[in-house]
Amino acid sequence: MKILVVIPAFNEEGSIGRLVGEIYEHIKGSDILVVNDCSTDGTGNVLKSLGSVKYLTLPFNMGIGGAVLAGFNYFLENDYDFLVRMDGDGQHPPDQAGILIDAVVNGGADAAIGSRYLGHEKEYSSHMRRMGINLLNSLSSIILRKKFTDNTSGFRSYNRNAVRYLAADYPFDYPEPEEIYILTRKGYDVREYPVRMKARETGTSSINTLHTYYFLVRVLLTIFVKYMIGGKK
Amino acid sequence: MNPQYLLSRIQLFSILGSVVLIALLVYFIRRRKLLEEYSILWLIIFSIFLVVSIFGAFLESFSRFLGVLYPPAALFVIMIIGIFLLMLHFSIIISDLKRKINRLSITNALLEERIKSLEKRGS
Repeated sequence: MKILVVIPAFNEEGSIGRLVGEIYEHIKGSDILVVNDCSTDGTGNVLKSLGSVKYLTLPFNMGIGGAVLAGFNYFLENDYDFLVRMDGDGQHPPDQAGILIDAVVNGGADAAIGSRYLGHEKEYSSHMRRMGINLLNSLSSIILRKKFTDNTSGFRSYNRNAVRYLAADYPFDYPEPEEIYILTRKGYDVREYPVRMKARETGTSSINTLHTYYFLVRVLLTIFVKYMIGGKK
Repeated sequence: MNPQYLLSRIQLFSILGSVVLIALLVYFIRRRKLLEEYSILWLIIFSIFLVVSIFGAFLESFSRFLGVLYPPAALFVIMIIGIFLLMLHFSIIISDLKRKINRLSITNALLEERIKSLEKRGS
């Protein structure tokens, strides 16, 4: 059983080293792949110095979707069985990954999502972002008839089937809510598990307040378009 | 001023304009500046423009159909629709290119990693 931990990273020189150490400690026997999304800081040099960590360097900043897709492709090419995705900023503690890995390895789930809201709502996020998340959550509940409390979480695990299906046509940016949507509609078993997350340690979130409106409109539009296409099948 | 006179003058200019544009298009295709694939829509639109300019009667009935009192204004409508179509066409091409570039970049990054690990194994 081969597990690959994929970490999309953009300017995470301050956190990536420690994160990698923690992953080796908590996710035993896994390989780590960092996808350096054309960072402008010293992320590339940090990765070079880490030795055993595999990394891809994207030639230009492709955004989170491109970085994750690169990880998916690496996963498929190198015959891994399960994939864990986590952010490079230290928000997702590796000691929490066990729940997600267990869900796809032993629990029969196709994909598992770490939710920071399941169980303990109203924590961690700014007001604006929470509003957006709530809207997305209601939308997914209506369309998918399945409740997801943390659509934007990037702390996830997948089995090979789910990765192969997603890699065939992966969204460029803001892939998280759409991913749940695509998989669930296709009949894949996507489950949510409560995980503890930390506030960011370094760097800035790719989704800031100003961005949130744009993010929301984009995601809603994409899902709407996909919904119309999906409805014709 | 006699409107009939004005129309025919516009007609003359638009015929001239269409011919020049089509000539320009052919020139660019011949000089390999423009792929035939991307010139088809231009050619269709310029041709429609030319035909409409020559046969004023068509333009008149078309403008009557639209409820436009001033036939040359109908010409603008045709033009604007044409421009919108072209822009849409470009957006589709850009989307396609972006998808291809992303795929290419990922393939490139994967190859780079493979070379790196092969070099490491070799040394």
